[in-house]
Amino acid sequence: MNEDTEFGYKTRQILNRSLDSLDVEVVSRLHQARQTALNRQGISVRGLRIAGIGNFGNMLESAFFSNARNLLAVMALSVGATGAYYWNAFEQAQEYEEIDSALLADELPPSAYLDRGFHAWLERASDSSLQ
Amino acid sequence: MQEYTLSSRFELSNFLASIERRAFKQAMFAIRNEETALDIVQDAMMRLAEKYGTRPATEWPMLFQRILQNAIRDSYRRSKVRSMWTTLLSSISPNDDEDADPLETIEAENGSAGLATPHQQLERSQLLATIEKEIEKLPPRQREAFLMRYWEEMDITETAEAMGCSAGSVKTHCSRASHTLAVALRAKGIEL
Repeated sequence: MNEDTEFGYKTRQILNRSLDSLDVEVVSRLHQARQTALNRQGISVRGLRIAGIGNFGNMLESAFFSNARNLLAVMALSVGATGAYYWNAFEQAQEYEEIDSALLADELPPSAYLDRGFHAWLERASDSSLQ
Repeated sequence: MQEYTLSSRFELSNFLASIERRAFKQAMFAIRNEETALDIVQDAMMRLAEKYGTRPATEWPMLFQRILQNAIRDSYRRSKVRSMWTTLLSSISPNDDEDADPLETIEAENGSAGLATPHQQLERSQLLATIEKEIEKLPPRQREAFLMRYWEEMDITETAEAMGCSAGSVKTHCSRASHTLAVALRAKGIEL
C-alpha cells in the first residue's frame, strides 16, 4: 500500500465516524428520499421476473421491444407518406377536372354541340391525340 | 403483473441505504447547504432508480456517483448565477432587512453544524471538523476523485468512468488531494 492510499484509508475511517453523528432530521429525510426513489424504480419495465435471469430476460425483451418499436415507427411513417402521396394526387386530379370542366363550360357555346363540323373536328382531334 | 423484481428492489434499497449518508456529506462538502445537499441526494437517488434501477447492481456505484457529481456541479453553477444576480439586485435596491436579528442567523448556523458534541469526543470531533474543512477547500475535481477512490472505495477505472476522465487524471487528482490534505493537517499538528 503506497503512502497516498494509506493516507486515504485513514481519512476514510475518520470520515465514516461522521456518518453516525448525522442530524436525526437529515437521516429521516434521507430515508424518505430513498423510499421515493424506490417507488420510481423501473417504471418502464413490465412483467414478473425470476431473480438471476431477470437481466437476461430484460435484455432480450428490451431488444425485441425496441426493434418492434422502430419497425412500427418506420411502418407508420411509410403508410403516412404513401397516404399523403395518394391524397395529393387525388386532390390534384380533382383540381384539373374542375379546371377542365370550367374551361369547357365557359368557352364552348351550347350551339357548338349541335354543329356537325365541330363533332367531326372533335373526333379527328381525339384520334390524332391518341396516335 | 409487477413492474420490477422484488429482489432488485431489495438490492436497490440496500444500495441506497449504504450510500445515502456519504452522498449527503459529499454534497455538503461541495455545496455547504443542508437543504440543497438533501435535494441533490434525493434527485440523484430518483434518477438512478428511474433510469438505471434495472441495471446490474455492480454498475450502480459508478452510475450513482456520476449522477451525484453532475447534480452537484449543476447546483453549484446555478447558485453561482443566483448569487451574481442577488449581488447585482441588492446593490441596486435599498436594504430593507434592517430589522433582522444577526443572532438568529448565528443560532441557526450553530444548530445545523451540530456543535453539541460530548466532552469525551471533543478531540475526535475536532479532528473530524478539521479534515472536513480541508476537504471542502480542495479543488472540486481533486475532492471528487479523492472521495470516490478512498471513501466510496471505487477503483481507478470506475472513478475515471464516473468522472468522465482518464485513469491517469484520477491518479493525479488523488495524489494531489492526498498531498494537499496531508500538508494542511501537518501544518495544524495533525499526523494521521
